[in-house]
Amino acid sequence: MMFKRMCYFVLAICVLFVFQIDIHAAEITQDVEARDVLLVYDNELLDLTHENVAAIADILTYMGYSTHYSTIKESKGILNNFTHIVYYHESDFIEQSFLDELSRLDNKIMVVGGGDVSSLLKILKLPFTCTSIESTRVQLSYYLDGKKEISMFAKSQRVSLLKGDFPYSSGTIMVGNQSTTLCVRSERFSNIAIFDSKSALLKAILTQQITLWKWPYENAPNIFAQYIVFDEVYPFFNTQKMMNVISMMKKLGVPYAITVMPIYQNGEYPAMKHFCEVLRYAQANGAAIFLKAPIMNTNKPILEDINKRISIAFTAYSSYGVYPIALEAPNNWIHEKMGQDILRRFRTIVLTLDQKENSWSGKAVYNTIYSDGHQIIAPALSVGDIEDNLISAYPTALFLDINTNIDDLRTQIKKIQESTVPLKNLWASSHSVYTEDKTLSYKDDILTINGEVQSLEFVPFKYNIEYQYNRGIIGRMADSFARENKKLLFIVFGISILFIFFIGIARYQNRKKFLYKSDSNDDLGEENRN
Amino acid sequence: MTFIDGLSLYAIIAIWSLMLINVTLSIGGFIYYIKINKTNGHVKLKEYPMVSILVPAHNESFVIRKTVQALLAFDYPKELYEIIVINDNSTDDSAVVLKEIQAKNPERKMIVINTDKVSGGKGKSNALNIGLTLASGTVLAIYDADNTPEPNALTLLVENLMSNDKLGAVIGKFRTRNREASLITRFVNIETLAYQCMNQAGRWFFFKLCTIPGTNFVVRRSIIDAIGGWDTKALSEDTEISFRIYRMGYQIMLMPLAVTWEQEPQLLHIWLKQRTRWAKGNLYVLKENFKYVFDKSAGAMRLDVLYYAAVYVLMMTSLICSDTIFIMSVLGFAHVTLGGFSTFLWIMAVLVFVLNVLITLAVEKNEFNMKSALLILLMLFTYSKLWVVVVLNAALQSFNDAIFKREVKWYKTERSVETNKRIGGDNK
Repeated sequence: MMFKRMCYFVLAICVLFVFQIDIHAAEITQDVEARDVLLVYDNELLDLTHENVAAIADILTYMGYSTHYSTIKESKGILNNFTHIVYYHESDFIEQSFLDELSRLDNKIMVVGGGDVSSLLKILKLPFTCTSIESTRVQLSYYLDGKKEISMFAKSQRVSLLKGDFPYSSGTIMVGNQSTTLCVRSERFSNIAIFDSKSALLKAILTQQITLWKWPYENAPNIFAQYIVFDEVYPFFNTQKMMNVISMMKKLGVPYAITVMPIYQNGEYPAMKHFCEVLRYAQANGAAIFLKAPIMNTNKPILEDINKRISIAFTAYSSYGVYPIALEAPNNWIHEKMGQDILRRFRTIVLTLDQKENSWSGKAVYNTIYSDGHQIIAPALSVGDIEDNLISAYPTALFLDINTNIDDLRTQIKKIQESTVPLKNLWASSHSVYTEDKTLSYKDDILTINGEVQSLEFVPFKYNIEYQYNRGIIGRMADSFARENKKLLFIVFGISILFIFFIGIARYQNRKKFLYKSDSNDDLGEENRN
Repeated sequence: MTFIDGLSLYAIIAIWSLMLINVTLSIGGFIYYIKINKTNGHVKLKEYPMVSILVPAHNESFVIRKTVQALLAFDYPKELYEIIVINDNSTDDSAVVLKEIQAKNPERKMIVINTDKVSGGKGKSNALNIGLTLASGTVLAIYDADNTPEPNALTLLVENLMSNDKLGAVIGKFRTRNREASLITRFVNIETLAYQCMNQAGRWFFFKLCTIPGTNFVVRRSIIDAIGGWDTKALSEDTEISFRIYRMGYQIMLMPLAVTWEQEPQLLHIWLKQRTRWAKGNLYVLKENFKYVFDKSAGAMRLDVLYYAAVYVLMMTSLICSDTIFIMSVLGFAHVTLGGFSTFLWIMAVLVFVLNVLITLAVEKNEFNMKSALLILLMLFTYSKLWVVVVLNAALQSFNDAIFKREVKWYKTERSVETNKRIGGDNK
């Protein structure tokens, strides 16, 4: 009897214990909104690894995945919310709690980087071995879609060498005299043995691997188009040269876009009118027009100022029938609040890689820009020739220089035409732009500004070539006046008005005192003065 | 940003800051002038005090007759003021002239102290200290030997001083008697009205601060006794004594209706010597008193010390910077890349300067006209530049005096025979 009671007691304790663990597990499960991908990374990010995580975050954003960012430590209790986890890993160690949580789930995990994954393989019960070695120079070979094998050297702090019989493997890496596969996949586990954000090929490989990893069907994933963009075409550019390029593009029947630089003043100059005339001709013949984002040249830019400048520039072009349908902006803007606020006014955005450090931060928690529903056109990636774009997993822009010799340009265009990445006309998509006073909408081949339909056909207009440039002294002063600090001008204006008023009062008082009324006390002074 | 850009930025900020200070003072000064002009300035007293007028004079025979006659013509009760002329080691016929005036006015209390090179000839402060020993008044009035005060000046000063216990001294306004004599006297006339009278009025209006100008002022005898007389080391005894009065907790008031007319240097070299003495004196006072900027108990005086520091240090360095940059730019040795550093900024500064000066001329009779406006412009590009030379020279001399332990040497402004027919000489 006693034994029986004892058994019930022990059983009750065990049930309670298990129940408590469940309660505890429930407590630490965080309420995180389910997104497409969870991007986790080692707890301590160095400069280099930060750049790599930022590049992976960018790729996921370009591919249109809503992504949640988290360190390994912070991911505790949220893994269950994601079907796909990308884990950027460069260390020897993986936190046990992460492994434990992962072992209880069945979501897919892709490890990117040279960190040791032995413990992960163990909990996933996969019969592979992993050796993570420190390395500086790695030789890569990889087949990208429809392209011949690309081989190149890459630099990396670490490489993970996986050995085993993999159901899927792709590419090879060679470190010293050791050779192994670059990308492997088995059940829920995928691995890319090395990653470096500075290598276009490794970014392209990662992009392709993510595409395959996320694609649920048997057939090949979708291919996204590339867009030819003649970048940074300045107003008052040599219009004859432009016409040669436009005629060539028309003849070749290739869709393209021209990014024009913003203009804030002197829009009434004949040269600007002529420039816009040529742009309108290009636009009528299929060229899309992008507006380059203003340069933020102060440490604390003001959103309203930037938006105002964009509005001025948009009006400068649209008043001559040139309609910018997208904004070309630095890639960092997708990570920064002000950049996002500016971009929000454009449905289609074209991103460029500037020289600055990637401003992505894990503190953002998720890729906000995704929720804004943009059509993002990211910069193309190539190894060697610019026209040899490696990316077809998301829309890309191939930036060309309009100053290039026309024959060289023709050769480039022909090479692009031969690419496996298709070209697409941007006029085939919908676009919208909002500025301070204008709303552009393009849908089903109809372009409206503030609701009024605008024609995209080319109709030459007349303008006076003789123009008074106002470049004399007065003109220069007017320019100078416009550039001055408005606050100081306001103060000077206020002081001048006040002083003129004071002078008026003083003169009135003096006349009253000396002209109409004799003051005996002043006689001596008067005598002194006269 | 280049080094030149840095200098330019400094010059712009300093010049505009000083300009805005002056504008503010002019606004205050103008309001004060308008208020005062609506009154006659008099405050009747139950009892008028005995006043001792001290007139230090060194080789002043050209002007002393006119001065003493103007002092004798005051409308202040004749029995209640005495004139003490300290004929300080003069080598001209000042003593004869003074004796003649004494003989002609036997009923008036006029004392002439003739000092020799042993007891006198050591500057204005020393002469005033000598005069102080014979003074019997409870109020002291100081006039330079080249002054012709208006008859009501002394009464106005004394009435205002005695009607307010907080006041340690009351100063009047001084005007240029020989303004038409030369271009330099015309400039001095404008400078006096704008930067001495209007600024003083603004400082009084806002901060109850004024600096004694060296002439046409009254001060309580008790204060001078308490501070042990004038500092003989100070070349600008007026500024020095002002600071000492502030420290005693008294205020110094401006009464602009009490006017004196004085002779200003007609020749450039005399002007340069006089202004160098003033600048040396002010630098000395600034050096001696700068410590009070950090002393909370010094009260409003701290503002005045800062004002002097701003004028002498900030203005001088900024003018040197801007002029150097201008010359180097013209010669092609320097190029300012700073955004907004343009001609228009300077034009705006000139506009504010001209209007600021014009407002001070507008309150005076016969001063506001197109000729004055053109003179102000000319003054900006010529006379104002000389100020830099004066201050640099004064700084250099002060430095040399300190290094070589030289005794402070008093330069007495040379007087001229007034050739200007338009100015009145005789106040009778």
